[in-house]
Amino acid sequence: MSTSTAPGIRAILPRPRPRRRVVIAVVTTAALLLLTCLVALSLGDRATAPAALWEALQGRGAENTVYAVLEVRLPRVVLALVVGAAFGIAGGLSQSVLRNPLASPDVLGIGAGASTAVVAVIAIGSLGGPVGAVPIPVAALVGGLAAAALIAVLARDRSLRGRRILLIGIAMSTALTGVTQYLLTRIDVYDAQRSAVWLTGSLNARGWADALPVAIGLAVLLPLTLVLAHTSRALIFDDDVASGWGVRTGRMRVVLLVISVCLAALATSAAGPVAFVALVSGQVARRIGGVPDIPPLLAGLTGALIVLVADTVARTALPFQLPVGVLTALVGAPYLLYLLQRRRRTNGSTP
Amino acid sequence: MPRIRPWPLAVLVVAAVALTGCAPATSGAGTNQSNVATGQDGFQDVRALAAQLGTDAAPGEFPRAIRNIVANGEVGETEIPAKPQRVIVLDTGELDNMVALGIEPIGIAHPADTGMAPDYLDVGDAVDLGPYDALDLEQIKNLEPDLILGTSLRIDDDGLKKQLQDIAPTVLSPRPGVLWKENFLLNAAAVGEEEQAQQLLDAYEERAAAVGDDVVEANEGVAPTVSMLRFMAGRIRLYANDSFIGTILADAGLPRPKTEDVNELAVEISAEEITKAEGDWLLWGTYGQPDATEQATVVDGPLWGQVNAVAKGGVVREVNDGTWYLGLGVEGAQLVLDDLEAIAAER
Amino acid sequence: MSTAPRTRTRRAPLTILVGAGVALLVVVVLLSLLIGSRVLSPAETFGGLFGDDAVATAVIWELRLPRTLLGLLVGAALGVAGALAQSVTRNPLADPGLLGISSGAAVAVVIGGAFLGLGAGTPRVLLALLGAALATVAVYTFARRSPEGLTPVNMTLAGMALTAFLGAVVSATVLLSASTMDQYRFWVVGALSIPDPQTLLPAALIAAVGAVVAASVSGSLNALALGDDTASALGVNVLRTRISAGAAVVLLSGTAVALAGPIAFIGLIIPHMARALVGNDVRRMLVLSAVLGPLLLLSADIIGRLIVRPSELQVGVVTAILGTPFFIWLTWRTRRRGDAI
Repeated sequence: MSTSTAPGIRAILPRPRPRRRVVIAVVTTAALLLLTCLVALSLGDRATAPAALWEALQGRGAENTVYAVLEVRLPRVVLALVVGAAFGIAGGLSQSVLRNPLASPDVLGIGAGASTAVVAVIAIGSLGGPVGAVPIPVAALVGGLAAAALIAVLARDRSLRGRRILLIGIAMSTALTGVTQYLLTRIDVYDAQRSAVWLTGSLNARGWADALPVAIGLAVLLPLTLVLAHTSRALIFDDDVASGWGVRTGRMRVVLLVISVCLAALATSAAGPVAFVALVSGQVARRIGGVPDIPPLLAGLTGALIVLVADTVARTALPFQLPVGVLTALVGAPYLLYLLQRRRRTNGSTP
Repeated sequence: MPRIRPWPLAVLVVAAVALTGCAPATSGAGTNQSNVATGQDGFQDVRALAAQLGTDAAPGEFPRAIRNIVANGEVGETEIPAKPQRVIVLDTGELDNMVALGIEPIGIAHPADTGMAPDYLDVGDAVDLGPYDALDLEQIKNLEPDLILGTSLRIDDDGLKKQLQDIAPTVLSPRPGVLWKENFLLNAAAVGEEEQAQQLLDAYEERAAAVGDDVVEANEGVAPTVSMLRFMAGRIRLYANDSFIGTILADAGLPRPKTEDVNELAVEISAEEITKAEGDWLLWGTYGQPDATEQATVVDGPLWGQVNAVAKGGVVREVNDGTWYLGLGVEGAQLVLDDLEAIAAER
Repeated sequence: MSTAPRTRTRRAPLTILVGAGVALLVVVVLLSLLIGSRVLSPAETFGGLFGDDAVATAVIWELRLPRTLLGLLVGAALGVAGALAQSVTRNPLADPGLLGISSGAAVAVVIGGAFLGLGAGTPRVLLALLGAALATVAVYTFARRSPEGLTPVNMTLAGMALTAFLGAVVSATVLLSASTMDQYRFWVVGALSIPDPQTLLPAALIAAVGAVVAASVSGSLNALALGDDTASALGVNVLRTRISAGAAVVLLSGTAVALAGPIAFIGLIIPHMARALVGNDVRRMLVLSAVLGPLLLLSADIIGRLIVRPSELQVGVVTAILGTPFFIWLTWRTRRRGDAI
């Protein structure tokens, strides 16, 4: 049905109607998220009652409570939301495009690439010189993008499908982890402890400044993703089918993957490689939405919810603070194994 | 790769990089301060930096302004309105300083793998604030301190420094260890006990010289060169002049062997190079678990007998790592002198 | 015209290859004795080799020699384990490190050390064996339950997923205690430099048992390579062969991990080199792998000692960095041969 005067993709594909179950899922998850935010804002060194919380959010009430809610908990909750959303959307996109539930940025070594770049900057910076002045977030972003580019080139797979990319990505992740581990042994033991925490993903002692780049990234890339959503939905079908609809499959795939890598790298730069959020969010979103593709908005909300819950538990459940990545890894990794054996229902069509 | 127009992608990527670059430099895991910790470039300036710090107020006069490190590499002033009653300390050095001045802190933060306080310090009812790299600001605020003491090395995130300053007047020194005397005076200035601190330091220095004489006497009138060896996970160090123990040995008038007589924190060696510990006396300690280090390989190993002090029958002694390398304050220094005195007496 | 398999006429006799391998090994062993964090002048080296210079002698014969011997043992164990794994799973990408078996062993050791206080010696070897065995079962199970079954890709993916999971467990464990982190920080990347004399004897014994099992099952493995049905027809008990081979892999890789931490890629690379030299006969491959394994491992260790003097780069990190390009090249090659990748 393509015409030579096609004004664009949107004119060719049927306008997507919001699917009822997805909408319900989005609303429900958003409500759940709001509730969790309120709970998270009430928990801390001393729990805050709802009435006091409401006052504190307006800046009134006991000074210590206002401080705790507005200066300590609120930035952290906001950061958890944006980081989780970024990871969730990134995971959902790459899983859709690569048509494989295992193909998420954290598994493919994007996180590892970002982490290696950060630890390298810390280690090389400790010798003095200009490298130490590179901001950590920039290092993470460069590392993530470089890793993605390298994997794409090495996979030598023009269609960017197939499991070869998966193998290459995981191998790169192993190699990069080796490099990171070496770098860790080179720096002072105190730095290593801090780096290790960072490498597992932690929201500790983070503030508004850390959330800002991620928020801006989401503000720019999420609308873009939604606009392209119906196109990405087309990608779950075979290339011939989608091309027949005029979808430039190759180009679309690359664009969506770049968005995914950017979001994952931004999130990693703010909170470290919080493990498995990207992997899990998309899959959960797909299941609760009851659709064969991964709705990006739902994936983002799911990711935000996961990170917020994990971080709140990590900081309140024990007398000392655990990094959030430890919790997500302990829960997410068994899920990864479960995913492995619960393979595709139909060959190649389930993201 | 499918052919695509590069420029939209490039715009996307550049935008992403620009976004993160826009974040103020205070975000993220903090700029790295290891160069201040172990030498290399920033190190020599640290002493000069420390010399600028302190207060111009008369002894005991409040309110007062204290010059200290307010952001990485930046000296600024902290106002202290009244004599602090509720002090929070963020590391062992500050804790030692407070205990020496007879002040009980209300909250103590510490390194991640140690308890709240080392055994030789008595801390009363202080609250354990956990590791200093995972501070709970709510908890600190709820304790309602009127003074927070720490070092810029440990609180290396400028954002965190600012957050602490918002809670209570915060006085930070550049780094622990080699600057322990300057830090003691700085902390004392913050609590208005400058005179007491100076007296304690004078007493220490007198005693150090006396113990040094004891050592020389025990060594038949010749000052022995002293090697300070330390086993750590994955590294072996010979501590040099710009370290806590380096300053104590210098105060005692005890010379260092050539390898260790350098203006650095320490010299890194390998197990095979252990014979670089050339001192007439060899004192060694182990940080952390011994089996995480090469202590057993070296001390029970074949090269130990070739080490100068061992071969020539000088003093070879294991010392308490917690005081000799981590003491970081005047109480710790006095304990080191106690040990040195005992070693000299046994000769 | 000959009815003998084409491969046989193109390969050199095994004895020559083994001889050449051993000769190279002697050279590498010598290099391993001469190179280290302490730089020895030629005079010192000479004196050290022949006992004239006390310090150099101690360095060469008492510090570097045990490490070299460790490298020989671990390298042989890993090489043979890899050859067995690739043979029994018919997977050219198999490697105890990549399949998660080494990770399983490592996790068991770390958890046993951190929470149960079980240290070096026999406990460590037993923990490693337990971990390796559990990981093997896990990988096999997960891979088998995918619809496509036990393809090389699925097995590798399952192994990698398991490694990721176990890596997360190790991270969690060491983060909860910084002193644990110190203790295992170097071991967990794979290193020959951590002397562990208590573990050496039990590990060597277990490795010997593993070698014996491997030898006994190698003939059946040849038959297995022809396909399960053909093998059964030839009178080989397929299940028992698989289990024995798996047990040998566990024994050998478990001891390697107990001694030197998890080292990947040796088990991947060596069988390919051996196969290129002696063909597909499992018995010949195993013998040559036992020689090539130490060759590769010690070379990697020497490289690690050279590039960041006076400290060193752990051998596990060197193999990870150098082995990954080889792995990637393998995935290209296997695709071109039409295998299911």
